[in-house]
Amino acid sequence: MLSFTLIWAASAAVTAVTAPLALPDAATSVCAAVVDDSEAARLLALTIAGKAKKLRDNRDLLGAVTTLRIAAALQPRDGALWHDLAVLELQSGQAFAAEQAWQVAIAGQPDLSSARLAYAEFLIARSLGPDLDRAGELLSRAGREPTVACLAAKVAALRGACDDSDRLAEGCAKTARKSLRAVQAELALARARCRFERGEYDVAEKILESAQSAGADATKQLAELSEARRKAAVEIAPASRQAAATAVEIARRALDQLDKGQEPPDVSLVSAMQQAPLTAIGHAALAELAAFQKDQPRAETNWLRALNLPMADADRSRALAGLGQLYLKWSPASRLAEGTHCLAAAHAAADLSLTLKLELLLALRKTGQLQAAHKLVLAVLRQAGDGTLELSAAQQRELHAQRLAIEGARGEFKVADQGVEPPTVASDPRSRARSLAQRDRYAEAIAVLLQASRDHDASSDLLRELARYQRAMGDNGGAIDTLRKSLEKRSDDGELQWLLGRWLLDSGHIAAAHRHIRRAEELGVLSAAPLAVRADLDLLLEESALASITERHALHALRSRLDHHVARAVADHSGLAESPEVVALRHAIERELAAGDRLWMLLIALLATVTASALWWRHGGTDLRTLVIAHPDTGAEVQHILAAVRHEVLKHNTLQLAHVVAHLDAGRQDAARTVLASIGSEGDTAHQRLLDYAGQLQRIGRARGLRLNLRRRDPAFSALFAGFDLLAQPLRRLRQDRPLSTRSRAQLQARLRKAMRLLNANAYNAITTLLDVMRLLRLDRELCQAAFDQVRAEPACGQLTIAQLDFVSDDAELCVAMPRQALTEVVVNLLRNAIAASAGLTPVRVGVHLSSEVSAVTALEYTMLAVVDMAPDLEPEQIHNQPADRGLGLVCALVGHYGGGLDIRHQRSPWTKAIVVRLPRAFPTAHIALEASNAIHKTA
Amino acid sequence: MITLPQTDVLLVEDGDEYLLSLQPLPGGPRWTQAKNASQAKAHLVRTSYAGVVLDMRFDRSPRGDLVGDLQQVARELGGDMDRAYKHLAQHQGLYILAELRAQGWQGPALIAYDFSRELRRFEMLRQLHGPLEWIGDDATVATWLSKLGQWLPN
Repeated sequence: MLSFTLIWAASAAVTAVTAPLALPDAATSVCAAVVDDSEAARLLALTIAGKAKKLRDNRDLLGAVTTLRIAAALQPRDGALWHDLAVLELQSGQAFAAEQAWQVAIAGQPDLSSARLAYAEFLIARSLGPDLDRAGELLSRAGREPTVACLAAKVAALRGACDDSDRLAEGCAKTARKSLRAVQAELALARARCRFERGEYDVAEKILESAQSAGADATKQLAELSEARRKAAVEIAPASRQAAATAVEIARRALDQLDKGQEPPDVSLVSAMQQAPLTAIGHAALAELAAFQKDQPRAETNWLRALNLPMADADRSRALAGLGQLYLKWSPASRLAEGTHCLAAAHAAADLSLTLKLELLLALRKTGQLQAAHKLVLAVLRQAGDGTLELSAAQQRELHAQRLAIEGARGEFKVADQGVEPPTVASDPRSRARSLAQRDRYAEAIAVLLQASRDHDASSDLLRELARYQRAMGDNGGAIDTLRKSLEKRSDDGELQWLLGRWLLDSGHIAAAHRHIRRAEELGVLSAAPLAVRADLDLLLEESALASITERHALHALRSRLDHHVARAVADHSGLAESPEVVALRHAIERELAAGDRLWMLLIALLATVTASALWWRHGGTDLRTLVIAHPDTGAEVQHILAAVRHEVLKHNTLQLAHVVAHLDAGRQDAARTVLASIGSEGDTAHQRLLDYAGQLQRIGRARGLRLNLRRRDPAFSALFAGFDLLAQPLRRLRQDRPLSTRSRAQLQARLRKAMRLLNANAYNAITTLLDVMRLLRLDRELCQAAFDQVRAEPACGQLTIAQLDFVSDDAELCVAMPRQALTEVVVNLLRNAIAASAGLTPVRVGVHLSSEVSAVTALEYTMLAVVDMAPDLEPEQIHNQPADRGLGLVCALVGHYGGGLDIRHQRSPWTKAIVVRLPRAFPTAHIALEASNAIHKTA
Repeated sequence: MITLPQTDVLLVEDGDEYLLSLQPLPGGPRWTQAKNASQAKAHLVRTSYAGVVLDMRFDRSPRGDLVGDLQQVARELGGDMDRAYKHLAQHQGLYILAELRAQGWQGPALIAYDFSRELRRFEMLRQLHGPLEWIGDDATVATWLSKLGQWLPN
């Protein structure tokens, strides 16, 4: 009854402790209740353990642990029960409780090997401080099970006793139990770690390899091993480190030079590599140098050495690429497979240059790796499309051609493969070839078809298929030749014509391509039309660099053809209407037309500019009068030249022209010619002198920033030039030996009279008028008083007492041909000089006396301006030796410039001396204005 | 049609343009050419001329052939000898005429220069040098014929 009661109570307690918070109290009360009855306790413990097992089976791990704790509490010496509890505690994450449970279990039953093994395994996994010692102790009394040997070996390995571990591992390895595999794998990893930590990399690697073969994942350990090896190679002695650094530096420099196409000196590199033989980049540089020197074996050896050493990814990629190129170009026969492999590996290590990518692409095709080739070409085109790779139009075209070639071959295979699965073994060569091609064994497929084409009279289809495979493998020339043979058997096959045309076009044989594409277009191949247009466009651009301008009609015609094709494609629903090729072609044509438009606009703008410049040059510029008004200082010089023109150019023309007319009347053609030649022919003639004078005037204008257009804008000179121009034709006519007809003579005479009018009336009057209007400035009291006031206001005169100006003039109409500014300058300087010379006198008295003089020979009249003072006398040399930029020196220069002179004269008292300026007197006789002259010229 | 008297006329010029132009005039006088003042004076000593035609500018003559008070002219022009020579050359016709008058020749003179805008000066020249006429640079054949007809004594 008691037992029943106890069982009931325990059951109630178990039910109660399913609530975790109530567990300790419930277990304690149960233990207290059964403490004195061992059998009851054993039965109760078994019952509770059974309940715990059920809970564990129902995956209620927490309930199971709690329940089993109660059972274990009832049977503290039941090692198995406590071991079960420890396992459950560990499974539920209670490592500490588990360890305690195992300790209780072993204390209760010291020979319980299962508990010892489990606890030892737990300690080995934890490997904290003395854990391994404790684990070893546990295992020493755990029996002779293979598991014990495995764990003991592991403990030894973890302790660093590699040899002991190996010895114990032999016992572990003898067992082939499945349950031990994981333990064996872990043991192998531990042994490898042990060897690895002792630096025995090779042994460690061997153990890891065996572990991998046993199913363990040793990837991480192998990577660590590789890294450790690399570090070991790098971490060398300081002296060696310096040598390595030097070798790296020399190698980098050598590679730079090789990049520039220069051959670096190899002595220093070889020497550096002898000091640091583990420098990978040095071997790579030696390899590139050897390749540069065409030493294939040495290059290969060095590259292989470099690749066996640790290298940065970029260097490794470069070395692989170099080796790949070496293999591809290997002489006498290309080592295509090895080269392709190396290039592909280089591409995987780092992004290759475009050139290398294209080489790899070709190599992949040649080795029949069409899938990889296709992937690569698409990747490159994608990069070009998104702008990450700069490709020229030609490069893009080449890539597209390669893509099409690959897709063409693959397409051929797919088309041929539709429907029936190709037999693995087939008697038909085409089927065999397709079967091979399906497995990317294009080289063999080609061999089969080539053999078939030699053995039999090959069909057009067979040759076509062969051509596609050849092209897919990069043998463009062979593919084209084969396709030509195919076409010979079926020349009216539009598709074949089109295909051959396209391939030829991609190969750059535009003229040949054009023939086939046009033929395909004639045979009704819709897709040939864009290619025909493209061929014509290429031909057009090749023939003329200025096609956008000169061949606009042809470009429009090409666009019309393309439009026609699109219309047909739309009608046929062929999907070719807006194909990328058509769109690109349309853009190309539009671009050329737009370029032509731009060039035309440019030409028109250029023409307009040139025309405007020419018009400006012909009709722009200014005349002499404007020059003189804007720059009065040029007046005297211009006057001199005009006077010379009037005298030297014009004076004899009238008479001589009259004689020419008279000679012509009398039929004396030779005499007329002689006289006319002296006026208007070459040499020292009037015309030549006119040109000389005009040149002088233009130089004067240019010096003042003005362009004189005497021929068009100046009334005087335009008449002169027009007159001489008129004389040119009669002279040419007279030079002919033929006698003049009456009519010709009359025409000549009319022309000569017109020239006479222009030269002698219009030009002469215009020049004379111009001379007149350029003169004339009245020299009077007003001008002299203004100059006097200006000087008196100067600071230098501030301390002086200056009397009023003594002004005397015996003529009210004294004029000079001189600019006002220059004349004022003359008067101011003379007065300033006189006042300064009289500074000791009070008051200072100066005067201006105006008079005129007439030359007794030439009757030329002069205006005499005398500035008088009371200062001591001067000698003439004192005037003429003055600097020409101020004072009397400046006056002397100015007066001389306008045809006058300077002199000193004694004066009667109260004056002592006079400085006399003598200037040519001018008269206001310019009654005929320039405008009148212009009118005459226009009338003429 | 103007008929000119068949007389001798002395033509003083530095080139040959007037001679070439005037000599062919139909019914014109007999022309004798002198290139400078000394030649003109020599001709006048040897031959009796009805008149003297003078060019004004002698800028092609050697400087040594020019007559006139060079020092005086230079002084008036501020001591510039080069300008003085140019001045003499530019007005040499009048300086030669002055020399001829100084030698005692009182015949009519015709100077080729346009005084149409310097009539005041020309009047003074007449007062200074006696019988004197002028003919412009732009004179036509008709003008020359007319002028010679008026100027030369019948």
